[in-house]
Amino acid sequence: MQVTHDELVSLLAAFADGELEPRRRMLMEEHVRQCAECARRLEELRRLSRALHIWEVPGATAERARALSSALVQMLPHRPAVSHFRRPSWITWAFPAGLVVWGALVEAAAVLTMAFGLAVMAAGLFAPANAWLSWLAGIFPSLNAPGWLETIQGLRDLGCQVLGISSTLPASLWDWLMSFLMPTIVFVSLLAVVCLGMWGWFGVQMARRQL
Amino acid sequence: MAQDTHPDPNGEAILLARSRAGDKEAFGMLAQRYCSFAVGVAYRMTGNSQLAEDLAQEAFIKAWRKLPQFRGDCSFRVWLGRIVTNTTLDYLRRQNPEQPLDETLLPAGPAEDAPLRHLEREEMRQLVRQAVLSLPAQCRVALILREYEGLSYREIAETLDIPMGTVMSRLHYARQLLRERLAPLLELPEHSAGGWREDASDAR
Repeated sequence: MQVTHDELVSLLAAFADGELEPRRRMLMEEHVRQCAECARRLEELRRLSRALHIWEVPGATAERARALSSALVQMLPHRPAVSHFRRPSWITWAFPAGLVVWGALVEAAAVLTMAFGLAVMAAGLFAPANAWLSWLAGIFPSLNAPGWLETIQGLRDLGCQVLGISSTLPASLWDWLMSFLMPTIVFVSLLAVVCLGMWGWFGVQMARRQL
Repeated sequence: MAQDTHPDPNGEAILLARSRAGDKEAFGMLAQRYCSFAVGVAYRMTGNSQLAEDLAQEAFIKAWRKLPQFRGDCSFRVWLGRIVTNTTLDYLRRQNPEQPLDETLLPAGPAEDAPLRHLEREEMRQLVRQAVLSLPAQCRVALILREYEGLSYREIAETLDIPMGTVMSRLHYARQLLRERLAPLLELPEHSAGGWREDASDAR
């Protein structure tokens, strides 16, 4: 194999540091014998290495090392012994992964519940003869105009059909649904969505720190 | 895995096992073995022997705390070296928050005005000290691990968590700077000026 002078120059430092594999080392030894420029550079590297050792660590004696380590032992904090039992890696991953999957399922359930509650409330708004519609018609009198009622009834029927509930429920039941049950469901599920979201965020942050 | 250059690897394994089990005396013996390594790295990084001992102590305490996490994927020297260099580099960063560690911390030594023929040993030591301390910290730490502590390129790469190519380029840059700054010393005939060649071999 033909190796150029420039390639060998780039390997001089590795050669001086004893880092070349045998074949390249032999090539380099041969080259340095013949090339005055490389021999000079190599000598310069070796001189530099020797010169650096003029600067030694003051007071670096075996007694000093003993004294330092004795002082160190006094300073060491208590640490419980390490168990030789190593958890299998799948346990390390299965537990947090299980928590994440479980959290995601509960989160999805909470989101669906909230959506259901909101949808029932929206459908209930359009149900005739209940307090909510009267209240809305009081604010927006134009809702009482002809044509609106049919539209509202159509929307209500569609909503109720989609949700699988009867649009002919008694007005008092609609009122109870609208004023108590559905807002409670929406509030609780919203709370669950926020808490699970925060739980998941902290979990991800902790996992990142562990890695 | 990096080769273990310690003459007594078996004794070390026992000390490590005992230290992992919470034996402070065993860890003290381990620390005694690696004291010159830890103090040497910290001293050449900071140029202050008292500070170097404090940093080495801090690094040993961190090592004691982290020992349960040591899995033996690399040699103990490489693992400890990682803690010592990180402790020292963190200290330097705290001292000079505005100074990135790839820039020089000290001005270059008075290489060009040094009188060639009359360099005494103490002057030469100061010249070398100043030249090494003036290197950018990231290059300096690679040079110290190679030249003073005798780590292989692979061990340096593992210690500093950088690729081998980066180790070689940092060493190359450090040596290039040192060649310029220590020019008077390198041109000096080695048998003159108090025979520093013999002194150098003693210091190793």
